[in-house]
Formats: sequence, structure tokens, C-alpha cells
Amino acid sequence: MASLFFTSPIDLDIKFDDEESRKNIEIKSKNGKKDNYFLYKDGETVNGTVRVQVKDGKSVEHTGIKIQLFGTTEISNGQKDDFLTLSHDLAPPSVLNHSVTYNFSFKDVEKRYESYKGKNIIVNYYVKVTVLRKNSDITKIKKFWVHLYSNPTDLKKSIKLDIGIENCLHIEFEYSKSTYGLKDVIVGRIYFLLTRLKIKHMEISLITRETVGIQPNQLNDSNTIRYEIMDGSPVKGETIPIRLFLGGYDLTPTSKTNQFNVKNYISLVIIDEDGRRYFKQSEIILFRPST
Amino acid sequence: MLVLAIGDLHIPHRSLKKLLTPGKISQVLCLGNVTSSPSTLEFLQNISPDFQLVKGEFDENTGLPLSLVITHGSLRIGFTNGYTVVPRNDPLSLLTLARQLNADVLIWGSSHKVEAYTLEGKFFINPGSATGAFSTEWPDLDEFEESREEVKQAETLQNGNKEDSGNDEALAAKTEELDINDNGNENSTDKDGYDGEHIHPKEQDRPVHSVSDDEEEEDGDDDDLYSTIPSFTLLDIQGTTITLYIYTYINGEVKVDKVSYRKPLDED
Amino acid sequence: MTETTISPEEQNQLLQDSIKVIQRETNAMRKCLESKGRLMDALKHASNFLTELRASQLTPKQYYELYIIVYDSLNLLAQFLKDNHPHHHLSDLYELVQYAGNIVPRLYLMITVGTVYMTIPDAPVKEIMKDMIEMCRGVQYPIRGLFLRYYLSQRTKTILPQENLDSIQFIITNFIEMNKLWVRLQHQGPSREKDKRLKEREELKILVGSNLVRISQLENYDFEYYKTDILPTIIEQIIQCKDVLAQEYLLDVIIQVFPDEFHLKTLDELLQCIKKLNPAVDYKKIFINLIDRLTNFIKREEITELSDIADFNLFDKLWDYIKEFELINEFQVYELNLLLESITKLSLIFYPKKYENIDLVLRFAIEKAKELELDEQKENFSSLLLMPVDNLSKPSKILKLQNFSELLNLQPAKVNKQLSLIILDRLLSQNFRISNLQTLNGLFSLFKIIINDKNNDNNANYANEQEKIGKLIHLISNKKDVTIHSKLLTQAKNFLNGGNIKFTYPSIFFNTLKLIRFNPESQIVNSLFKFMSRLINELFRIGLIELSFKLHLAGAQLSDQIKLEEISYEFFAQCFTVYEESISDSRLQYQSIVSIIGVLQQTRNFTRENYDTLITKTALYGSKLLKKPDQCRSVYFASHLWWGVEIPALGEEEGISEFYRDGKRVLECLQRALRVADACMDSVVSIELFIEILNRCLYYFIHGNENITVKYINGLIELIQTNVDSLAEENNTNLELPKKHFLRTLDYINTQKEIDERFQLISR
Repeated sequence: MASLFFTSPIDLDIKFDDEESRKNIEIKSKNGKKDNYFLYKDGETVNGTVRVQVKDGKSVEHTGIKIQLFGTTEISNGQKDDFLTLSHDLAPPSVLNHSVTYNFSFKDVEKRYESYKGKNIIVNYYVKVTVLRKNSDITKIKKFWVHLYSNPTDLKKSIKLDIGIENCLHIEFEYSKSTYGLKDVIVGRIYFLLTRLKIKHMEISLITRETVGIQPNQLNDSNTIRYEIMDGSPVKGETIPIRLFLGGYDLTPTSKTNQFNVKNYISLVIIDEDGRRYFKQSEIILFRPST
Repeated sequence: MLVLAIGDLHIPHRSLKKLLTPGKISQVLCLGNVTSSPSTLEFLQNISPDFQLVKGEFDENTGLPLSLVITHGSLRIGFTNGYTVVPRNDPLSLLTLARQLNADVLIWGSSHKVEAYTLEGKFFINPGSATGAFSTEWPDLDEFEESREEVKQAETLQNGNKEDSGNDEALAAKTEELDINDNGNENSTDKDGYDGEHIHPKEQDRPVHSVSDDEEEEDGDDDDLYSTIPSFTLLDIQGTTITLYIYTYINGEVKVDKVSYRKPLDED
Repeated sequence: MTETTISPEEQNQLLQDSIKVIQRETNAMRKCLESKGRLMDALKHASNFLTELRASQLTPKQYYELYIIVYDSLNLLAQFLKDNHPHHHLSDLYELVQYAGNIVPRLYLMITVGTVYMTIPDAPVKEIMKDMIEMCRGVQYPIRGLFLRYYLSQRTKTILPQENLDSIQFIITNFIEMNKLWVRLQHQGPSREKDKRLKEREELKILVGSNLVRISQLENYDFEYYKTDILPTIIEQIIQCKDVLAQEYLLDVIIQVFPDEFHLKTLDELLQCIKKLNPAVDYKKIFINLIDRLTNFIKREEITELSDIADFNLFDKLWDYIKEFELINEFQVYELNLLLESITKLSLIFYPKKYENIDLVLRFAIEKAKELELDEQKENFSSLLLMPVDNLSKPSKILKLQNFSELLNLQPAKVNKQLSLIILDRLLSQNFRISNLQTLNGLFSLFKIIINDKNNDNNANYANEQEKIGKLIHLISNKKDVTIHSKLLTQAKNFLNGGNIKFTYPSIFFNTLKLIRFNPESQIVNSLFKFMSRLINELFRIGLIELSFKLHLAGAQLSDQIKLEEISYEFFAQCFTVYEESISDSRLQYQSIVSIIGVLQQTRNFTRENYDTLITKTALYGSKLLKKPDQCRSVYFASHLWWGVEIPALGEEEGISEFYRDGKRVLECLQRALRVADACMDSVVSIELFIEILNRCLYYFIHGNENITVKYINGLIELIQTNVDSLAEENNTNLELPKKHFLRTLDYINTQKEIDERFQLISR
């Protein structure tokens, strides 16, 4: 903001060390644009350089230069919280009259949360360089993105359900797993033991639900992907396959923190000819597999 | 114009063979012996609406005339069954009848022998029996012996069998194919001043097939051996000229002979 | 269901709207395909037009219309993918199109990409096939599912691997699923629209059947596989679906598309299947189709050794089956008839000489005919009876069938008669003779109903029917053995005397005459003549006077020709008796006399004495006729009895051969005739008769009868002239005709003068 009114006497530029080789991630911003961020994982060292450039041979007096690394949550109610703050001094107080480049390194940074941009909460990571001055500090931040990878061990566990409406519908269905990687495929089948219901179609919904805070001030949001898996009404004995590729969707791994959590559900929805919906929802765990 | 002269069908008493169905025929002169068979009568009447009939010996209807004369221009054609001509088939008595009827042409039947000749400027036609019906008149001695001889041959040859079935159809079909006005017909023997001899072809080449099928005994005999040759005649009348087509059915084939007649000019 | 409630107009509007969308989106897709790097957009447009196939309110025909347009559009896409591989990695694309949210468009796209994918080298063909067919289960809506699977079938048509059995399983699976959908269509919507559904399903059946056609076209399998795998699977589905339309149609398709040889070898399976069908199925039709198919196969392939194909007796097997069926089912006669008809045909073609098979069928029908009520319209066995008539090498061979006649006679009289007439016609059109007793008995028993029909209405139809029996009689012939021939005739007479002999006896009579003529020396000629006599007498007894007269005369004529004078004399005597005692019509009397004269004049083998007796009597009868002109003419005709002339057939020749001639008696006859003519009351008639006598005179004059002199002729001419002159004064117009006849006669005399100088003496 300050830069709009004052011409800053110095330019700050942050560069991560391996920008050429580091993975990039594209994130939609609010205005629909897409921003690119470098991607880091948990425990990874964040190092780089800060270049301080003095304009037009001016000399700038400062009381020190520091570099910080933040992990923050922002809730839509305005509440902010830094869950991670790391700081290093880059230079003692002095006068700058030429450009200087400083190296920085945050070693093996523990990153508790994934970067996240939900409706009610945002999880951000960034490094911030500050040139401390008597009047106004000059700062520059650079965001980066964090993915947390995991490889759950209980992948094999399938979901099997036997549900029905008395004298009307009886189905058995099965998803081969309850835990899926983000690029995984949900495979399953539905077996119709009884169908008196005139089914128009059947779909599965993939629901991502974020919950922020605790009752009674809890904020909820969910995002649903709908996928038709059956057209028309099967007869008794029919088996309908389920297959849903997850890779094409922008999904969030299941996560749980003190402040918020993200849960994923798969819901089998049957819509009858009169438009009534019958569904059965089951939670699934989504994770980001390490590659 | 075409006039069909036909007679002595004797269906069903004496024969089975059916007739022809030529088109183009404007008049049918029937010499009788048909009235026992409504189907035959109907058949003849269908050939041409102008159907003229005289009484045959075996016709029961005593109301029928014994003879009739029809005219075509200056030509007068008389016809009669022939059983009331005495002596039967005698040229001179036929001539007498022709004179009595004032006929230029006299058509008669009952002998079941096809013939045509000119005598004293008049034309005499016997169309024979269209069905090849058996005749009780004297058989032609030579031919009779000949056919009896053949019967004997057929006996010695095992199961003499003539292959062509449906003789009747063949006759009808062949007849339709022939263009009556076609003078270039191969079979026609153009004899002006025909000498009055009987037209009785004497081909000997009767096909005899030996048949291996052991069950064939119930058929194969050729009725023609016992019967008269089926025949009828067509008169193509142009002014005072008549071209007579004689159709005979011999050995499974239709043969056509042609005889011409022109009425002599009146002398005064 | 709500969709059935919309009006046809609305339906059509929906269709037109859909077509517009498809066309628009197809164009958009085409443009994208033509530009670089816009495949994703193209797919989006494809998905858009495919969405139209989610329609649920169209009739099957309308839906089919959409399908056709969509098919063409997808063809464009498929062609593009084929041409641009490997730019667009097909395996990725196969996954990509699966993100389509709606299942119908998704599966069409999947199949489109998948089938192109299958064609590239090293593609996981088997997996793709399996995946596509499995995923198609998601569409359970009958019409949409049917077309989707039809699309799968069409797309894979030319690319299924030929070297293994997966392809067959693939098609069979698709067939089973399609059939289930098709059957289910019946149960959609309100039950009052059942018939409409049935009609719609009828329109869609070919989609299901096409799978079986496809299988039949593959060469991947052998008979063994067909028998152990393909057929049982298909049959199981057919039985399980319990649907009448499906069962009838699909079994028929099986019968039509797979090789007949297979059917022969899997007959048990097919028959078992038919047994298990829904009771409402017209299984007879299927069964009949099967039999007819086999029959035509044998006919077509001209297979003579059935054992080459089937190691069992086909007829026996099918026959057992029919009997088994018969125990469970109530048959209408006409249904049974169809069944029996086709098995009969099969036997006639497979086992042409096994008459016992046909007898078995006929016996079966006989038992049924006794139990059931037959009627003239439908419930009878006429077509079954016609089957052997039409299919035996000769219709006459039906006589080899022992039960034929019994079944025929069990039919309602009208049917029996119609059939008999048909059979009779067929026989008559054959070149065929009745030459032994067995044949004769067989045939005449067969046609009993016609023979014994005494309907004496005497209408034309009746006469025509009886005429056919007459024709049948003419088929009696045995040239090798006179005795047999004569026995045949006697036997025929025995059969015929129960019927209307008026129509049939004359045929026997002439057949006998013919036999005599050609076997004049035979020992049995005498008995044959006696036989003929009996025939005539029977006819006479039922009042056929005229006919008896003529037949006697014919007998007289022929017996003279073969020199049996006594017999001939007897026949003439019979003629006279009939004439004298029974012929009363004057016209007939005259004609009869002329007939006798004609015949007598040509006899050759009488002794002088007998001949004199006969001709004198004849002349006497003539002179006693009622009417003067008849009398006159009979008498001048009778003159010829004393003046034999040549019969060229006998080789006789005027001037060489000897003839019986008595000129004096001739003259006496003519004189007598003249007197009768003169005695006529009507002078014109007298003149005409005078002229006729003049002509007779000229006849004898030419023949050289010296009793007929020039003087006599001149006298006659003068007499005529005088009479003409005297009448001319009366101005009688009736005179014109005789006058002209007279003139023609005189003209004739004049022309003869040039040839014959004797004529020159005749005056005028």
C-alpha cells in the first residue's frame, strides 16, 4: 500500500534457490486469474536469496534487514493466526548505497498444514523480507505452496453397504477402497436385490466439506462433484459398475487441524421418476500420495 | 380374318386331349360332337364370341342344325358334321351337298381324318378330330398295320415311354407361338392345287426311351399309338382367297401345313 | 411414466429440436476438429449433441432417426482420431472422455474412442472390449440402452479380433444384455399401452437379432464350439427371458442365420429349447420353420446320403417330438395340419421312398380326424393331403400310401370332393396310364366321392366333374396284355355302376372298342363285345335310348370291320329294335335312319343274304317315316345301299375293286323317292326334293349306273322345269332357293359336258 504513495528507494526481490527446477503449482485466485507458486513439502528446507537494490545511487539507512517465514490461517470472519513464524537477520543496521544480495535458509521447516484455499479459511505460507527503518519499513513477501504427502497403509479396506427401503429397494454396493489418492480411481459396483422403485437415474456425488472452528461458531462449506453412473431402472439381479477417475478434479486431501478440517464423502444418489432422491453417504479419505 | 374349323372332340367319351387357345380368331365353326362336355363347349365359345355349331352324331340336342352356311364377302362356307352325308366322306356326295348348300367351301367331319382338296372349283376341308378321338370308321389300312406293328415293337422294348408329358399344353403353347400370317413358316408346304391326298405324315422316328426306374410301369404308354392324330384347321380368309393352315400333332410336336384356295371367277 | 402423455405433434417437435441441436453441435465439432489443438472443444461439442440421445419422450422410430444422425457425426470424430493418432494419445483420451458427467454421452464417447484405440498396434484390445461392454451396464433405460449397445456392436463390427473366442463372448454378452433391455421395454409405461409397446418392440427387434447375425458371420469358431458354448448360451437366454415375442423372433433368427448343417446336428438342443418356451409362444411356427429350413437345405444341397450329416433318423426324431408335443397341447386341426404338412414335406424330400413315414403321419391325422370336429373352411386336412400329391415324383404314387384314401374320406364331403378333383386333375395332366388292377382299385376308391355323386341336377359343373372320370377311364390301358386291359375295364365298370353311368359308361365302351380294334384276333373279343352289350343295355335301362342306339351302331360298325359278321348283325338288329321300339322323335328317327345307312353302306363283311336283309329293312324304315321330305330323302339315301363305292382307307379303287351294286334297285329307290316328293302338299318342297333327286341321278350317271339313263334325267329336268314354270305364275317367292339350286345343277351338267361326253346328250 505504502508504495502507492511513496516511491520506495529500494527494490526487494526474493528468489528461491532452485526456481528453475522446482515444481510449480497453479492456483486460481479470487478474480479468476491463475497464480503460480513454487511447491514445497513438509520438512523441506526453504532457502534462497534476497536482493536489495538501491535506486539511482541513493543511499538508504536502515536499522537491520531480516527474513521471516510464516505459516498463517485466515478465516473469513477476519480472524488470523500465524501458526508458524521463523525469522533470521540478514544484515545489521547500516547504510546501503549499492545493491546487495543476501542468502537465506530456513532449514528443515516443519509445515503442519497444506496450503489451502477454501471458502471460509485460507492456509498460506510465505517468506517475508523486511528492511527496518525508522519511519517505515520496506517489506516484500513471496508466497509458496505446501503439499503434504502421505502414504496410508490401510488402503485395502473397502466400503461395503447393504441398504434399502422396505419392500421397495434393496441394494448392496461396494467401493473397493475407503482411502484414495488424489489421482486414484474409485471403482465399485451396485447390486440390485430388489427394485420396485422406478429409478430415473443414479449418480455418485463426491463431496468435499470444510469445517472451521468449533460449535456454535462453526463455519461449514462443501463442494460437490456429481457423476451419473446409471440411466434408467434396472431389474432385480442387475449389477451396475462404478468408476470415477479422481485425477481430473481439483480435490483436497482429507485433513484435520485444531482450527479446521476438510473431509471427503462419496454419496450414492438414486433419483426416482418423481424426482425423489435417495442417498447413502460414506466418508472416504483422500490423500496426496508421495510420488 | 381367321376362322377356326374344328370338330369331333368327343370329350370325355373318347379322348382326353385338350385343345388350343389361339388368339386372333374371329369365328369358330364347330362340326359337333361336343355337347356332352360343358367345359369343352365353354372353352370353344371362349375362343371367339362368334361360335357356330352344327349337330354331331353324338350330340343330344336335336335342335341343332345339321348344316349351316356362313358367308364372308362373296365366299360361302358350308359346314356339317358329315354323318348325314351318304355315302360318307365320298367326294361326289360332298360335292352334291356343296351344290345344294350353294357353298364354295364345304367343311365336314366325322371321319377323324384331316384332309383338304379342291374339286370342281370348290374347296373341301375335313379338320379331323381336334382331340385325336378314336374313330369307328374304317382305319387307313396301311397306317393301321403300321401302328399295330409299332405297338408290338413297344411291347418288346421294355416299358416304351415317351417323355413328353402334357401333350395338350404343348399343343396349346406351340399354337400360340405361331404367327398365323407368317407365310415364311418352315413347316408349311405351299401347295397350290392340292391334289386331295390325305395329310398323314409318316414319320417313323418315334422316340423310345428305356426307363430304369422300377416303378414306371404305370405310365409311359403312348396313347397316340391307338388313336387318330389330333388336328384342326385355321382358315385365313382374304377376299376370295383362303389360306388353310392344317395343324397336326404328331409325336409330341405340332406340325403346320398350308394349302391355298381361290374361288374361281364367275364365268358370266 | 410421464413421457407417454405427450402428443405426437409435441413428440415431433422434440425430434426436430433435437435434430437442430445435433446439427449445430456437429458443425461446431467439425470446425474444432479442423483447427489445431481444439480437440477438447470438439469433444465438448460431441458431448453436447450426444446429450440429445438422453431423450425419453420419442418413439423408437424417432429415436432411431436421432441415432442415425448421431452415428454419422461420431463417425467424423472417429475418423479424425484415427487419422491423428498418435497426436492424441488414445489411452489418455479414453480416460479423459470418462469425465463426462452424464452416462449416455460418456459411453458413446468412450466407445468411439475405445474402438479407434483398439485398432492401433499393441492396444490392449481385450481389456478395452471388456471395459466397454461392462460399462454399458450403466444404461438400463431400454431404448437408450439398446441403441447404445447397438452402437457398440456397429463400431466393433469390423475390428473384433478374428483369432480368438473373446469376440464371440463379447457379442454374446451384448446380445444377452440387449435382449434383456428389449424384453424389459414391454413392461415400461401403463399396461393399457401394452399393444403399442409390442408394436414398438417389433420395430426394434432387428437390433437384438443383429447380434446373432454377427456371430453367424464370424469364422472364429467351429461347430464344436457352437454346440457346446454359443448355442447353449443363446438358448438359455431365450428360455430365461420368458418373453413371447423374443422367443419367437430369436429362435427364428437362430434357425435362419446359422448353417442348416448345424441345425441338423443340434436338433436335440433346438427341440429341447422349443419345449421350454413360454406356453403362449407359437412354437409350431418355429418348429415348422425349422423343418422347412432343413427340408430346403436337403433340397438345395441335393444331399442324398443323410448319414453324412446326421447319424440319426431325422424323421423319427421329429416325429417323436411332434407326438410328445401333442400329448401336452391342445391342437386346432389347422395348426396340427401345418405341423404335419411340414414333416410330411420333409419326409418326402429326405426319404422320398419311405412311404411308411407318410402313412404314419396320415394315420395320426386319421386318429385326430376321428376325435375332432372337422369343418369345410379351416379345420380339415386338405393341405396335408395335397402335400404328397404335390411332392411325390408323380401324383399317382399316392396310391402307395395306405392311409391316404382313409383320411381323404374322413374329410367333410365338400372338402373330400374338392381334393379328389384336384388330385384327379393332377393325374390327368400326367403322362400316365392305369395298367394294373392295383392302380385302378386305388384310384377308383380314391375318387369314390366323385364317382358316386348322383347329383342329378345336370348342371354344367356336375357334368364337368363327371367328365374328369371319363378322362380317367381313358387312362386305362395295358398294351402288353389284352386280358389285363379287359379286366381293368370290367373292374372300372364295377366301380362306376354306383354312380351316374351316363357320363362314364360311354368312355368304357369306347376304351373297349379301341382295345378290340387293336386286338381283333384276341380270344376274348367275343366276351368284350358282350361286355359292351351289357354296358349299352344298362344305359338303355336308365332311359338313354338315343345313346344306346348310337353305341349299338358303333359296335356294329367295328365288329363288321373285324369280320365278326354275326356280332355285327346282332348289333344292327339291336339298333333296329331300339329304333323301332323307343325312338319316337321324328327328327331323331330320320337322323337315325341316315346314320344306319351311312354305316351300313360302308360295311364289307356281310354275306349277301344278311346284307340284303339289313338294307331292305333300313330302306323300309326310311319309307315309313312320318314326314314326306324325311321319307323322300331317306329313300334316296337308301339307294346308296345298293351302290357300293370305294373306301380309300381300304385301298379300294373305282374300276378295279369289286363293289356290291344293283343299279336296278337304285333306280327303284329313286323312283320311290320321286313319288314321295310328288306327293308333298307344298309344291316348293316338291321341287326342291325333285332337284335333290336329280342330283342323286347325276351321281349315279357319273358312276355309270346304266339304269339311270339320259332320258330319265332329261325327263326329270323337264318335270322340274314344268313345275317351276307353273309356280312362277303364282309368283311364289319361296321358289327362289330351289330355282337357284336347279340352276346350279344345270350349270354343273354344262360344265360336265366338257369333261364327259355322255353329258352332252343331256338336254339344255
